[in-house]
Amino acid sequence: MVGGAAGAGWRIFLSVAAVVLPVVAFADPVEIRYSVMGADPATSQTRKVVAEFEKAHPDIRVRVDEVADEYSMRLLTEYAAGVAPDVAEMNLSMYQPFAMRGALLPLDGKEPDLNLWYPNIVRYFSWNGHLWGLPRDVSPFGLIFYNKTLFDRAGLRYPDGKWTWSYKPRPELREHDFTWVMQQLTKKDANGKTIQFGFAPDWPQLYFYLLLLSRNLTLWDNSEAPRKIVADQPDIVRLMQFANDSINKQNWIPTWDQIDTVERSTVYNEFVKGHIAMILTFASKIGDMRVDMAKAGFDWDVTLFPSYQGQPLAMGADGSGTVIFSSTKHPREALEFVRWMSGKPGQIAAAMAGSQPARRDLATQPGIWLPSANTPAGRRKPANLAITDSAALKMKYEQTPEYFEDTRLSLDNAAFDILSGSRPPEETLKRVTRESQQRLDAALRQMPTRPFPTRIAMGFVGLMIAALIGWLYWPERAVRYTKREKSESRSAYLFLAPLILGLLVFTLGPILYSLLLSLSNSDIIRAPMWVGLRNYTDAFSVDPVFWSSVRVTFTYSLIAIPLGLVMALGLALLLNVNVRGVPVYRAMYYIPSLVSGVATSLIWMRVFNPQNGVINNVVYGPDGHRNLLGLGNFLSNLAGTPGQPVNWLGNERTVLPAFVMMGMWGAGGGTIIFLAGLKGIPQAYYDAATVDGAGVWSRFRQVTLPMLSPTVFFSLVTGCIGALQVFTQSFVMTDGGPNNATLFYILNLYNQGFRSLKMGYASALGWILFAVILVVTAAQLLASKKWVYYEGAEA
Amino acid sequence: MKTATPPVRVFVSLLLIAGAVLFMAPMYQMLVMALKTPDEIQATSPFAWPAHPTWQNFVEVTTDPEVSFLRFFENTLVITVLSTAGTVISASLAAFAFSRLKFRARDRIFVVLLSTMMLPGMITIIPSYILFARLGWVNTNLPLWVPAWLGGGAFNIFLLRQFFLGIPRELDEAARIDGATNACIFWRVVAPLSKPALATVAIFSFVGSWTDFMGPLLYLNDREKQTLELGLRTFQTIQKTQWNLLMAASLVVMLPIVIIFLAGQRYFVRGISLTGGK
Repeated sequence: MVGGAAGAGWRIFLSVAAVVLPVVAFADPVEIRYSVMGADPATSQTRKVVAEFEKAHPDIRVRVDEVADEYSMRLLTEYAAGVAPDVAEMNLSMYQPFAMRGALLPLDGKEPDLNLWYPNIVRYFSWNGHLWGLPRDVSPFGLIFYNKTLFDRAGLRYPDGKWTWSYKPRPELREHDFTWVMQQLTKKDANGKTIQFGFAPDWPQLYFYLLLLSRNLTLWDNSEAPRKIVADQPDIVRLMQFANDSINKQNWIPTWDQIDTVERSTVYNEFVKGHIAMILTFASKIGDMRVDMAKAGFDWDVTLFPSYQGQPLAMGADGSGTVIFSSTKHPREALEFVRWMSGKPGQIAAAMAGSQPARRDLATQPGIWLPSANTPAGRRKPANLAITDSAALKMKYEQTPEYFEDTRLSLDNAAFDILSGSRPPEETLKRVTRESQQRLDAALRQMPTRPFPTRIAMGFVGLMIAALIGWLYWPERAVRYTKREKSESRSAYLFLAPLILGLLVFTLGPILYSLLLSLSNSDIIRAPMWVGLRNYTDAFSVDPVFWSSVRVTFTYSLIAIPLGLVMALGLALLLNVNVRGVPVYRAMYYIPSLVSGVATSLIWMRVFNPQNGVINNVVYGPDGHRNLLGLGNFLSNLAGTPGQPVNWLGNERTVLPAFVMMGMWGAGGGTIIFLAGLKGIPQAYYDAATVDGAGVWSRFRQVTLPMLSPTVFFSLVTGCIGALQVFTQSFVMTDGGPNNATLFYILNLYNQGFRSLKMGYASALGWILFAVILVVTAAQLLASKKWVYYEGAEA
Repeated sequence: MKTATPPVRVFVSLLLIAGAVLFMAPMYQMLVMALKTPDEIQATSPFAWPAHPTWQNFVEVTTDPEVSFLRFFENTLVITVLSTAGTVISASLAAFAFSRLKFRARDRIFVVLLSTMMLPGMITIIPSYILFARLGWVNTNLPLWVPAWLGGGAFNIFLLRQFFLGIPRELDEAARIDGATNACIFWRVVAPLSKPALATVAIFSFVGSWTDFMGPLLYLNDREKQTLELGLRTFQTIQKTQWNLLMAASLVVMLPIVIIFLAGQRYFVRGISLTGGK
């Protein structure tokens, strides 16, 4: 019995242990966090591969973090706060700033089969002799997708890959001359309007770089140690003049407004509709194209961008890889995961989502990237997919040193203006050369830095706070409070308690931190070094766009602030009249302010589109030849482009007025504030004025205006603060262009801080603006004593 | 101006209608796109009313498994309600002190408060993030609403202060003589007379929180904690914009704020009747 009971006990123990032990052994699986660019069609594939990884590695959990936008900014911020993910997906242009500053773990020798990868993608994921990311896919740019049906219609033979391009069409070479083919495939209607374009790059920048690559030109003297910007040399001027002409003059290539829709990537849609014969884009479009071209009834294939007469052919390089942040606590598990995501399982999954594998053996093996015998018919196109292999082998990317980063970004940003701007390319190239050289010279001037003197900095902060408190309380030091006043101020502090707590906990720290950063060379990633006031002097002397950004911002503010005030007040007065349906009108005027950011900017780009936007449709008619009440000619002349519909967002003269117009659409917010103010005026005051014989106008002057003056004052002060910090529209819609015409102060600050990673300098810019706004507001406060009437002010 | 004559009313109505057409034109475009199939968007003019309006887009965005719409809605609602309540309460408390009570350096402290609006938010993103990371609040919704309870932002305090300053002092004095405390004056005199202003702050704060993108983007990592505004991005990828879905989703996301606004309107409509005024 005893033995039996003991046996039963053991059995129970064992069976419990059998359940519990594995759980205990794996109770604490290592968790790693993996960040990916969200809003990506490959995301569902990613999740699947991650699930398989977890199955194969039960001791590792992976948390996938899909970042919807601003990927780089989010990773930088997280790294600065010490909460970076362990592993992240990054593409070629992204990893470098992280790698050169020590934010990533080197992966040298960690992947034994690295010889299977395309050698050039491995080279470009290396920096300073170390490998910083394991490439997952390659994305050579230089693939041309062409519509066979349109070639047939024009009676042209399909490209055989042996073509070259030239500055002028060479009819004698026929299909072996790309320029001639581009010309032949362009069709115009009787009015000279282009109805079919020969060619279009998916993004203008692709074409820009590819042209430079094919002429073997760079915008700087040498990539090892650039010292001179040579973007205005005759060869480049000629090259860009050719590109600009083929867009703006011959119109073989559509201008970016001739594309029916607003997103640049919808060059693709025009291709699928048969309006463009050839497009330059990435292999990742193949998946969509298979479906869409079949639906549209077009036959198509892919070939390589032509070389320039006799010069070797080079492709632009891109691709993504998987990196490990140096802050990870689980480097071993992270590496396992990297080798999975960028290894065979990850690459195959990415291939299914439309990315060319970074391992050459996988990219050339039928059934993964290339079609095989059992590939369904729908996936066999394009027939010439095998050339993506030679494209990957021809990828070329100029790596440049760290000090050149900021300069190179400013050159990148100018691509659009140079390529397709309305100014002659020579002029734009001269400006860009000047600006970039100024940046480069500053970077070459290797200014001394020293370790951040924490004690002095703390002392400085202490002094600032002491000065502030002195300014606050010194003037009133002699005022004696009565007992009642004392109790009143005690109760005031109770009312203010949440605010004071919030200011101390959430506001003060970050503000002082940014003040200290403005005295450093902080690049977000590395420990900041002390540079004293140099950032402040740099703003006035070194930054080539500082003054133009100040001018743009003030111009905008001077138009937008008064107009916004008048508009909001006018609307509020109208909506305050007792007419039928006022609640509905009120909602209608306010609703535009509620539309989410993405939708707003997309809608506005449609409204301002010069070809078929709402405004030009009304003013110039659908065919672009009407002249509504003479308004068309008037606007065209004003814009400096007589005889052409106004290109609102693409013209330096009209883009700021266009932004102001968009701002008016959001006047509903200000209207609501004024309405609240109007409703706060007691009816009795109007009645009293009426009894005294006052008319509409004098009631407005004597009752409405004084009673509303606190609200007007509020709108004025906050309107100025808002206008001087305006940013979103230019960020989303024009990225500062054309020719810096919308490079607002804050956009420059953002570019410097989060793109060029000069956060120390960006902080200084922020504090300069702070000082300006402070002066403006102080002036308004002083002036307000003369015109703002407070019913409830102390006697 | 309640005594408008008939011709004035007609004139004002015409102006309002003309303006409303201008203001609603882009909204009309959104609606049209939301009711069309992608093919029809491609093929037809952006102004043309759809030949066969379809609600399919709305069904699709609200049932898309990638965008757990209900979950996003719930998350957004929680954050928005908490931050709106916090803003209205804490901002009106502070505004009361700045407009009605006397304490040392009051007006200069107010200038310091205003100055927090003047420093571009861009340069405090990282320090604030570091702060919230130290508090262990990253990947929670706390950074998105707790600060609202501690001050509610200089903009709102300033707005309310301006309104409070417009209320005659005699009312406070009368209440004080009757033995009312400051809390009582705030609650029984100033707050009821400021309903339009409080409603304004509530609506602004609601809209601001509902349509906030950067906050949730930075602080919410897990998909199941994210908000509608982040979910909207699903329809605009690097690869392409799904116009029909993006516009339908934008309209759906907007709908609750429109309803809130329509419901909150009566606070604007009802003017202030001062019985104890001059």
